Amino acid sequence: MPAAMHAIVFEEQELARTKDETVLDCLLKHNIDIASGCRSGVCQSCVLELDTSDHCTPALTGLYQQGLSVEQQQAGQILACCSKPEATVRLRRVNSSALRVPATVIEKFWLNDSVICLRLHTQMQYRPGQYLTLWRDASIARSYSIASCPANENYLELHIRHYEQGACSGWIASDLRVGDSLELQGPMGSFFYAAEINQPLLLCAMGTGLSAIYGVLKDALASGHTGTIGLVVAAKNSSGLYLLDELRALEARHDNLSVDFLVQAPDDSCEIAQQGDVYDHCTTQVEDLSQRKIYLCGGESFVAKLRKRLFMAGIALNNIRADSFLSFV
Amino acid sequence: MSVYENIGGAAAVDAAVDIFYRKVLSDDLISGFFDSVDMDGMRTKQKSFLTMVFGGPNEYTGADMRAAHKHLDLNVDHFNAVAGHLVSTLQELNVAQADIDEVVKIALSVEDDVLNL
Repeated sequence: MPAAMHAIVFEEQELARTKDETVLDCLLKHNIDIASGCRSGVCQSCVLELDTSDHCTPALTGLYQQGLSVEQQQAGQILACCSKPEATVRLRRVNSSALRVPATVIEKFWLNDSVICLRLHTQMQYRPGQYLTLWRDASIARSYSIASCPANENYLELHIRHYEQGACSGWIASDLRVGDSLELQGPMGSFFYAAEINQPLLLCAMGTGLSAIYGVLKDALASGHTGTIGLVVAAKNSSGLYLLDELRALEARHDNLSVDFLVQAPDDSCEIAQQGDVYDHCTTQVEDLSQRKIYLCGGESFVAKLRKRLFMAGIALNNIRADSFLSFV
Repeated sequence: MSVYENIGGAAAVDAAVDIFYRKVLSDDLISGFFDSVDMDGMRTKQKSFLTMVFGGPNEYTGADMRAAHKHLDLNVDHFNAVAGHLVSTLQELNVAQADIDEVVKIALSVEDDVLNL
């Protein structure tokens, strides 16, 4: 008997669904045990695949595949949180070993009071600045940007912002030990160094946005980038900054690199940071701004605001690459 | 030649969109309608709008325009503000007055649909 309109047949079980419900909402409503994370099509923890075992060509309208690789799209994988199929679809879980690779913790230490550096051994191939989704267990997953550069390091490095009640960051801080294993899904995204070798760059990071920016910076330098590189590292106050010594050392070694640390709140105890507004700084204090390829990384509101300010200052949207950290449900 | 071809077709739309987008974002009366986190998506919508109002190829129907603007609670002040920015964008691009007049005519022809009158 054919399934009702808009229904989802999930691993042979027919689930009623209203036209406007996402696949994820429908599955959760029916108490199906399915992992999810950001609910925004970014972390890819809710990926499912179309079940074509009955050889019927499924209707693809309303199915969301953005960010998935070509191979994944061709295999009929979709993101449940963003998919609203316009006809009945048959879906099943994807074999997680097809999506995730194992990783072993080799180092874990604090970069400042609130950010943990996690170094992993893994086979995953990536471009510095891309992100991945880290699986604590079968149901808890969080996305983090990759700060390491394979040309320089043989480990994969993540910068984890610690939240007291954080389901993943709390576990990383208190329970995760060197030698422990976990699983990684990815790499994802297109936030990586891709510029003409002599083009001036502006790299701007807020908080742990420095993870991706640090990766992109190291990649640019390792690739022999000759153009001017302006790095602006911002935080609300000086306790939010980290990697100060490492970045000053890089600046000393590379003539074309200049580093500015900016904090909103004045702080006489921190000699290295200037007090300033990162939006004003980036739009008014950077030479040749309109020639630059610009990389921005940090929380959603910072990225949206700076991107808009740069656009209003006359910069083409095309010149700006942005990676926005969003909160997980 | 249509006004779209006269003023330079797709290339004209490309030149105009960023100028127009910056103008509407700077106008407090209407910036809220254009202020989206998805700037690329918003820019694409504006390119479609400009293509249409320049007399270029588009698939908008009156019903589409009504449906798209219905929930925004627009009034004639909003419409006039957008039309004003459209005109000043074309003036900045040194478009001939006759062509600007044509574009305004096309914009006025969709006013009732946009305002759901």
